[in-house]
Amino acid sequence: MVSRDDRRAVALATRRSRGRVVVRRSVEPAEQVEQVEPVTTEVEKAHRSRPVRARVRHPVPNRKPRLRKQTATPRGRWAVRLLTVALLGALAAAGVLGRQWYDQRQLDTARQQALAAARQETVDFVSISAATIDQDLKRIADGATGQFHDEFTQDMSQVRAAVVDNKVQSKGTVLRAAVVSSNAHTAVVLVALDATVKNTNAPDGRLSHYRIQVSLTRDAGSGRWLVSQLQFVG
Amino acid sequence: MRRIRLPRTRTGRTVAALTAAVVLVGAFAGFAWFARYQAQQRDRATRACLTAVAPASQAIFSYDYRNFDASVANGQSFVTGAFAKEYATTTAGLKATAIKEQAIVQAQVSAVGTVDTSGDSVDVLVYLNQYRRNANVTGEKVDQDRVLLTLVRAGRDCKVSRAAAI
Repeated sequence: MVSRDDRRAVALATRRSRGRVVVRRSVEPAEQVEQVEPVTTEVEKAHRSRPVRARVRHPVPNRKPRLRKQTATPRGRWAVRLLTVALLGALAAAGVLGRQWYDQRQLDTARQQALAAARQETVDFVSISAATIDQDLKRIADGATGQFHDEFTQDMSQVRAAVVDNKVQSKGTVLRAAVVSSNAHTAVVLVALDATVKNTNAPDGRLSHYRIQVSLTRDAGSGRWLVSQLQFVG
Repeated sequence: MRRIRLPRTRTGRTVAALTAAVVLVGAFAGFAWFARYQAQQRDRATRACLTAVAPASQAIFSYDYRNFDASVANGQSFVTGAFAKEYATTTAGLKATAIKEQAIVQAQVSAVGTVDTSGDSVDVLVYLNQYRRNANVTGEKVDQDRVLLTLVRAGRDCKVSRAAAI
């Protein structure tokens, strides 16, 4: 007969022996068998008739080695803090400097656009022919605004009559254009032009030299640069 | 080929990402600063040379037969480089005629604009009026000229290195 005390002794011994078994996690992927030391009490010998059961560990799947979960070192934490501060500073600097650079580029672009518009409008202004008078006048009016537009459209019928009557044929060429002043919305530009003018009095053509100064305004709606004032510089 | 070793810890990856971001943003800030700096230098050079255009033009394109050498010496102080030699040669050839015709030429600038700015040189378009009086002319005649000047930095001043009528 196995008494209750004997059973308790066996259970206790088995628990202890389990505690002694060292199980390494980094085992080979192959099946591994570990022999558990049997508890060799007399009671157990008497109780068991079968051989001691071997504990079979199932193979550990071939997983990637997990990154060791590390807590950040003080050095690492400081590096992160410093770099964060540096990044914020760099972002602020890039914001301010980038904005200034963008504004400068906008000014340069505005300046180039104003120059191009001044060249086009002045060359249109001195290039008029009786054969294409309506198109020529319309082209000039399209590039004008404000005071210049008003004055030009007022005098347009007289100009048309004079050009047709005198059989004018004028072709202009821009020699140089220069910026007196400019900003994002307005500009003053000098344009030096030559034009060959043929008419009833000079059928072979006569070379005219022009010194023109134009004021331009950027149209808020279309973004086009339009001439608001055109004058011959004395 | 040597493989790049990536940081294995989370902190390492954060440091690497932050470093890359700082370098990229810093590079952009540096580029923007340099572009702005260049534009400012250009504007400064342009302004400095524009203020020199009127006195230089008046000095170079004016002369008086009564004190011709002084007029030329005044003009000479505004020119530099090869143009200084050209100016000396031209005025030397003009002296006899100027005295003979009792020529007085006074130049005045009507308008100035900037054609182009590159590095330390500035090209300007000048509308110049030359008021001429001499023994062959009754009263005064005005020539309305269009002159293209190139100015360069010479020390603290801007001087004319090229002049051409167009």
